[in-house]
Amino acid sequence: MTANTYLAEGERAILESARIGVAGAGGLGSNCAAHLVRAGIRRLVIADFDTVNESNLNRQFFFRDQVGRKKIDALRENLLRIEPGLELEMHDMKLDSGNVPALFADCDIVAEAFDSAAAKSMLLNTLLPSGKRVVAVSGIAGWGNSNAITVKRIGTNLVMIGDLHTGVDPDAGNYPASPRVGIAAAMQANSIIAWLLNQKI
Amino acid sequence: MKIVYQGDVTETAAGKVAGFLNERNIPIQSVIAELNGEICGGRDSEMQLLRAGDVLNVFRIVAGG
Repeated sequence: MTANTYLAEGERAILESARIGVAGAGGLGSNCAAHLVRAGIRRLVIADFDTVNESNLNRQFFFRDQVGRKKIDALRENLLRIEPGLELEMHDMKLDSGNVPALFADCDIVAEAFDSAAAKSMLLNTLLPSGKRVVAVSGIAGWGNSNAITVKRIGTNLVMIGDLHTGVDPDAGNYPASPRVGIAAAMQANSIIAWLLNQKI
Repeated sequence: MKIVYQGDVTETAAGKVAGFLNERNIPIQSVIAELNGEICGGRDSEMQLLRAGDVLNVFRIVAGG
């Protein structure tokens, strides 16, 4: 069973057999994972080293009574509330170029869901040369400019979502907030599902 | 030598992608480069030769998630 009762049998088989990696369980990762589960994905590999804190509640798929808990534990609990039959592989670890290839080796697609630009770059430069399919995000801070958030296919194995410009910059008043982060997370999940089903991304 | 950069014909003296980015003060680690439809990032950009007529697109990686 999946949470998505609208799937055709062939689509269901593809999505249920797919294994998706999620690198980071913050604003992008937690929301992208929830969309993927609701869409019909059952098998996820999710890694994050952080704990839920008060400042996360403005955009991340966590609740006030989960503050202080490890994000991977809280996210596991929340995803299983959507679909109890999930196969979740949760890793409490900080990702780097040394552990990323093995962690996501069996994943069909990896969602880049980090906050820092350096971590995003690390993941892309580690996974892309091997041909791994990655859906990444760049440029989602602040408010407004919804139409500036686009989906770009880059090379053969990268999809990049965002406006490619608006980074988190508190001095400029650009911080991550639910609407734009949520739009990007949904577009990530949408792109992953379409890619799996060989539909237009 | 002329290449097509971000959709515009651009003159460059750089022989490699990394050199081209350096000409424009673009840190290599802050972008993903696509050369002739292929991703060219990190160390690849330091090695990848540029030739006349190449099509180079560069995408910024900024913080937020």
